[in-house]
Amino acid sequence: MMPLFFLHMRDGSELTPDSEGSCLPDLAAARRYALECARQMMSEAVYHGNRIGLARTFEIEDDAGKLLLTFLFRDAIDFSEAAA
Amino acid sequence: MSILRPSNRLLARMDSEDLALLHPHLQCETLPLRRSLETRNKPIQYAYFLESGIASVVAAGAKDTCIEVGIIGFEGVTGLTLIMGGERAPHATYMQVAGKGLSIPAERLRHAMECSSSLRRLLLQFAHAFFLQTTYTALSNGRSKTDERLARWLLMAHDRVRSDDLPLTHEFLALMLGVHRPGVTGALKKLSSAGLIQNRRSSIHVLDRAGSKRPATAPMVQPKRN
Repeated sequence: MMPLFFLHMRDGSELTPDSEGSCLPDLAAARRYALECARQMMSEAVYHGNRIGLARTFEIEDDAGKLLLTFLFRDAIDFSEAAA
Repeated sequence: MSILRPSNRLLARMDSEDLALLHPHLQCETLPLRRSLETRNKPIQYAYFLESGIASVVAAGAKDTCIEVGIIGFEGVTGLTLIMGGERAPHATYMQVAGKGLSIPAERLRHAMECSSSLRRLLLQFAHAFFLQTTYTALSNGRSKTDERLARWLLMAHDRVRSDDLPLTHEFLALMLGVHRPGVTGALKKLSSAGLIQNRRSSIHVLDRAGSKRPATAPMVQPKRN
């Protein structure tokens, strides 16, 4: 059985709790999933001209509610200006 | 089923001769959640005239990325490939909300369609309606925000469930809309703050159907059923 990871989204003082969780192999996979989710949500915001919310985070918790990792949305974007 | 008052809309609209062609071959079936009705690239064994529940047609891409391309409920029948003269299912079709239906073997349906031009016309009309649904799904997927697409999907499900409680998880909705789960959770929160739905554990309660049409129809006109 794969463990359950919960991705609660924090946006300033507002928290959107994850009530279902996702079954993923390990924390590295949960981080990759958070990365993909953040990219997808920010892409949509950019496309529609809405606030990107770079300071948002996913608080990744285990089944027991223990905080394992805080993923910053900003870390899902490559900000470099020109090819090295 | 009662032959006098079928709860499937297509059977209900058939004239008695067409219904008599199908009736000896129809079999009542209970269709639980996730029950497969068609498998991708496999010959279609049965078509199902649904009486309740929702069947979902799901296209699969590379690396098990999936997205729903259409839904069928009591207004229609599965097996559109058969109706249009094909044999193998191009996509997977399975139950996304448990229900009931009347199954008919593929060759029986094909034979009945060869015998009756009015039956053929009726079933092709439904195939066209399904095609329209799919085209609007494409428009919605390509041009609308997640909350608008979610509102549209919830309205389409609400049309078919005959209840204000839609037994749907976020995971399932994510598959339906082809987005990751947190995107659905955020969109549900938005619809919920607007007072359109109430987000419950494992179900979504529709509070304001008329209001839900606003985000759903912002970029498009909803195709009408029938």
